[in-house]
Amino acid sequence: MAERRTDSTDAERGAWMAAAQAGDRDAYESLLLALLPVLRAFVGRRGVDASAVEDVVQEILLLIHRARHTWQPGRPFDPWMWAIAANATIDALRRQTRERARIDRGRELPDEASGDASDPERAFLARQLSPPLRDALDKLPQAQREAVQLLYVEGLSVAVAAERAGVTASALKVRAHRGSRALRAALGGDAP
Amino acid sequence: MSRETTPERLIARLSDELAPVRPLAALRRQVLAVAATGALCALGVALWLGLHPFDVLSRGAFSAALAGALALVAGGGVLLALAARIPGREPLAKAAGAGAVVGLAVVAALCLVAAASRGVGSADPLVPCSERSLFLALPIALCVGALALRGAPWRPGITGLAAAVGASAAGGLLIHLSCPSPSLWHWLIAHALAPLLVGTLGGVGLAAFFRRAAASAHE
Repeated sequence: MAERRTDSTDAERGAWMAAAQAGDRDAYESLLLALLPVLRAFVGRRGVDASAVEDVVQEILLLIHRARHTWQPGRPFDPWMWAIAANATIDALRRQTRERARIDRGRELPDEASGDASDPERAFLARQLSPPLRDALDKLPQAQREAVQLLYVEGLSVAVAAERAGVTASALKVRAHRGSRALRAALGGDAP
Repeated sequence: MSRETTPERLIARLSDELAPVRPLAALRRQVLAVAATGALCALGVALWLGLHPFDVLSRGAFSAALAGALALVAGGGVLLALAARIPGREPLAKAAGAGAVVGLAVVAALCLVAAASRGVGSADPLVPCSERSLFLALPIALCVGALALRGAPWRPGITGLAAAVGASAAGGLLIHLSCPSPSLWHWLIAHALAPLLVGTLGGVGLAAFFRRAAASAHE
């Protein structure tokens, strides 16, 4: 098995990647494990929220995996890897900025979020915006998660959300209802 | 995108699922492949219509400037499309993009020059040259598109647009080298503006195709 080291040089990383392109799993694992601390430090330095660093590092690892055929043996490894890391980090920072703006917009409408009895799901989710909610959302089936995110997290109208999801308005409402019911149960709220 | 619990688990999974891959051809080889396609197209034009590269120069600075601008757009666009899909080649992609933009700016400046000039001649029939330009652009665009498709699954918009605009400029250049028309407006419209416009529209379609390919790669 290849040696597990984190203090590798560019030439060693290139050699590992060349072996990985040929299908050497040990070399590939050694390479990715060697990159891990470097990527964590890089993403952290770029201003990504501490809670999101691990997610962004995983995105970079997936991008490296998908684009591994684009590294050309004989060329330096590090510029290739940094380009991928920078690209994924910039995307993450853009998402972070959008998310903060959305949260700020939500704070400007506290009454709507907490006191609208005609929209109990939205009020419930607005009160519960937290890491546990995110985890519970991640565990929902894809269709329900999408419906909940479009309607209650992004705050789109039913028509727009249905169009974006590519389903009818009634189908979207059913999915969102089931999703919010599952979320309520998962978060210990008022399960039906 | 599914999330592993930790990056370490993701690494273990990716290593377990690793399959051998054929490395992407070096950028130099990709450019040579596109150049070879362009050369084949030029050969076809030479046999079909006849190439008169020296006529371009003898017809004056305007014609030579247009040829140079189209060459800049073609080379810059193709290189941008290819380099943008290779991580770490961003500086080259930016330089190529800058070259293409300069070429487009020269075409725009030539439009202003032609508009201010007298005696630019009547525009000879535009459609045949426009069609031929696009016909010649097609194999070049296909070649660039196929090569770019093997690259990293990102930057679909700029890749598609650059590939299509670069290829259409190359088609326009080949026709400009073969066309006997003395009309400035004919050169501008049939050899540059019409192919570039259609190339831009085609680029939007190509970008959508690359976007779908990137999305399927992420699933």
